[in-house]
Amino acid sequence: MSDRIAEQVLQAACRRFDAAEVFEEAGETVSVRFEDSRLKEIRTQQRRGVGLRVIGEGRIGFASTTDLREPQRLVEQAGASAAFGDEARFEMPGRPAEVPHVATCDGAMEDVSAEQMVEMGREGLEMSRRANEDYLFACHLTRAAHRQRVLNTAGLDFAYESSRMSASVEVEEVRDDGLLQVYEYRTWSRPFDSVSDLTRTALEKARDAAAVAPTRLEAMPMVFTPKALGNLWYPIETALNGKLVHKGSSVLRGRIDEQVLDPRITITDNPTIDWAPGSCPLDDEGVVARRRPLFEAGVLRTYLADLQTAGLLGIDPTGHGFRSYSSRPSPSSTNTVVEPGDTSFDEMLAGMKRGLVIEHTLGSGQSNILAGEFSVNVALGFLVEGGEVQGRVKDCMVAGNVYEILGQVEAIGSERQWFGSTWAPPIMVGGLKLAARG
Amino acid sequence: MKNKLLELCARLPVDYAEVRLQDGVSTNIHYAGRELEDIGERIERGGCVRVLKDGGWGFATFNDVDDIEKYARMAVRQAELVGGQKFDIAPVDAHQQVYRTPVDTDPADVSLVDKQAMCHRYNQSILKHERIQSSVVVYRDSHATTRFASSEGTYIEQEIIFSGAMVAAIAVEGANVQRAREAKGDLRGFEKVTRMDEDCEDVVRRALESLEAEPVEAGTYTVIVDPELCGVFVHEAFGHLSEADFLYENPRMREIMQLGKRFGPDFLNITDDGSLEGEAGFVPFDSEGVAGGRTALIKDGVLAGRLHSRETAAKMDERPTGNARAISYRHPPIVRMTNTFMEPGETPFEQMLQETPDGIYAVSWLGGQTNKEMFTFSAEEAYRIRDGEVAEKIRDVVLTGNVFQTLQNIDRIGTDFHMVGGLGGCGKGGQSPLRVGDGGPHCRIQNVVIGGR
Repeated sequence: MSDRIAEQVLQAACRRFDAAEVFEEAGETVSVRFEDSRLKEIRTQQRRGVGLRVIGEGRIGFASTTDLREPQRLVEQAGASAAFGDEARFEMPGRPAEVPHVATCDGAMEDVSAEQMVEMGREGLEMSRRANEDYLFACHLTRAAHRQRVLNTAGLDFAYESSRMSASVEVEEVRDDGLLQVYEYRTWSRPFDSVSDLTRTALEKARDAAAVAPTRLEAMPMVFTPKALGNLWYPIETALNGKLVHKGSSVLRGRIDEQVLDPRITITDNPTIDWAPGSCPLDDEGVVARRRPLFEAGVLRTYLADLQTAGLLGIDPTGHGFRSYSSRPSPSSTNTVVEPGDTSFDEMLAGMKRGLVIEHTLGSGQSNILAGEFSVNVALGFLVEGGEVQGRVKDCMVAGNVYEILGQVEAIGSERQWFGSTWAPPIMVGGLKLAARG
Repeated sequence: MKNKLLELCARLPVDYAEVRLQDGVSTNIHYAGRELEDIGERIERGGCVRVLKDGGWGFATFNDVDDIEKYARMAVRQAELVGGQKFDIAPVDAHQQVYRTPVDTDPADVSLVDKQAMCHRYNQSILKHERIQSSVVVYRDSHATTRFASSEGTYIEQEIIFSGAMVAAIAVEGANVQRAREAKGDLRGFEKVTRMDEDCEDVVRRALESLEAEPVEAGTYTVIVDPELCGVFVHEAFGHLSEADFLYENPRMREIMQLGKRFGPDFLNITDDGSLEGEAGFVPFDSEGVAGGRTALIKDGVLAGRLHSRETAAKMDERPTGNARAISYRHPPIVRMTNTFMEPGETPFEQMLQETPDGIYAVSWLGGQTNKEMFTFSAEEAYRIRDGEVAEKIRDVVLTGNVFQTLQNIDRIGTDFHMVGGLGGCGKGGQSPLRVGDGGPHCRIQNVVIGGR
């Protein structure tokens, strides 16, 4: 397999079009899967693909392939696409004066063997067995190496590597009245050598969930843990997408520098954190990735834009053009960082006469996201009375509008946790209704 | 190619080996508002090797098809590392087949110019309305030829031809943003997507009506669902529970899911059928080379069957059902639904409505999810039912229930029937979207919890 495929495609394309850009990615992932308290499968996934974006007579075209035998076919397809394409509202960037340094790849990742990951999973399995023989333990461990390169006719040729290790642990108990499932998850660009902390946390939560606390239809304060915060964040992140802003379907359109969220909420998009899952030196179009406040003391500061979207909006590119080889760039966040407040988690619970701690939810994304609505089943939530966990709630739902909820919060936690590419504290909100039978 | 793949499978030092090589090309057209966000073709070529040795599975997938030997050896090493207790997968006869899904019009015979013109027409017809702020029109087709070979001598070459389209209207009034959509997607061919002009009118009307609707009040309701939502309900509230990979090594769950156990009223019948030619979940042969078939999951209210791969069938001493599906060469097969539906019953919709003094009529699918214990699904459109009649429109209706109890709460099943495919599909184990069909008649469910203000 030729390693000069990207150059070949670009050369062929620049003979035919005004501008062209090749995005190439290659990666390998090894994963180990424990299910039903047993090691079931080990998997290797190799992938390699090329996407070609062109501007011909001012119009954008795109095509992609994993069949690297015929670069010419890719060029023809991109041409067919450009015949209909939208007018290009951007110019491809050249090489930036300075490429920021951010750590994304740990060479030690390659040394993590499948055997080591099997051992890590076995350790978790043993902990789960010791805690309760009836628990079913599941664990999915992966390590990934990824390389991507973007080169264009404006002179940019930039490649970087990234590494990633991820682990999820799930403890399940089947009972006469249903199932209890608790999961924990971590992903990071450096290897870790144990899942025992994730397992310990999952086992503690499973123990807290042993009792089922009775509920009825009632309004109560609720704490969204970092894991559940996505329910509140996802509609806002969607509304920050410059594409939706441009089309007028974002409720945040025209509201830059307006107070949107509670003044205690500051949220930053930060691609410059060493080893964090969303970090990168440049975005996938070659725009320098910088730390940018999204909400400063609740005031909206920026939208997320790729090159074309920035052109349509008449703003500077923000460095949020992300893609895979088979897709055109589109606006997406990097690492989402929520500033901590001054209330510890225990203080939050102590302050609740009767309230709910939401751990996992089910069914997010089904409501009217564009309007900021969410409506989810509380898959794992703990009822708290006078600071004490009473047990798990079951068969109930929580719904609301994220702008109302985050417009005025009760408290922001002082300790942050990473969940995926979000680094956030728990947030306590008031006035939400728990819908339950009874 | 055939002999090379069969020879490779036969030569690997394992109990069972299979190879899938996939060559595909897909077309995408995507309008969002006035912008043509995407138009063009994508080519995918790749393969995978899956082996079973001494009770352990190894799997390797790759784009560099020339390196297939290297990845096959990798899969063998991984299977050896997994190890465990040796078992045989359920036997099926070795067979050799070439299959191509029959289509009315092959989307490959329609030019990109014509496809684009059609999407443009739909998009214009949505955007011409004054209070419609934005639109989405998506068209997609794909041709995927998969060559499957196993160490048992089975060789199948099948070409799946999918096509579908989705149209959506977005209406905005201040901070009130409402969206309505309609989708068609299946293996019948191109013709259906040429007939969506009325759907465009329909989504405009629905989006505008939703602007006027009030959010639903939280509570417990009697709910009538339309055939489309009935399909999603069956899929989420029960279908996933019948996937045997959740059960076969879960002793307590096997007790709960014993065949013969009552799950619903005696007029309830739920079926999965991968052999329905043309439907979105049509599976000529699954990703283990087993022909798709019809499986009664609930018969007369009683648990009657479940969905299997060759491994789960062997371990539960049942027969393979052709439900081991992988979304592409990048993934190993896992147990999935195909076309899942509730069989029609005896209550005409009008009667069902008349017999409902107070409730909610929920129409048209937005989404759904389950965690095996609880499920949620959401209606794009919903109305209050008052005194046996459809009354004012409401919005933000997301329904939830307990998988183990909800089917018991079905008390009326309609006489009509409708199957729905679409552009999306089902997600499980990191594999999404898988094309599936869902369907059923109108049906009434008591005691449904709905979240709200």
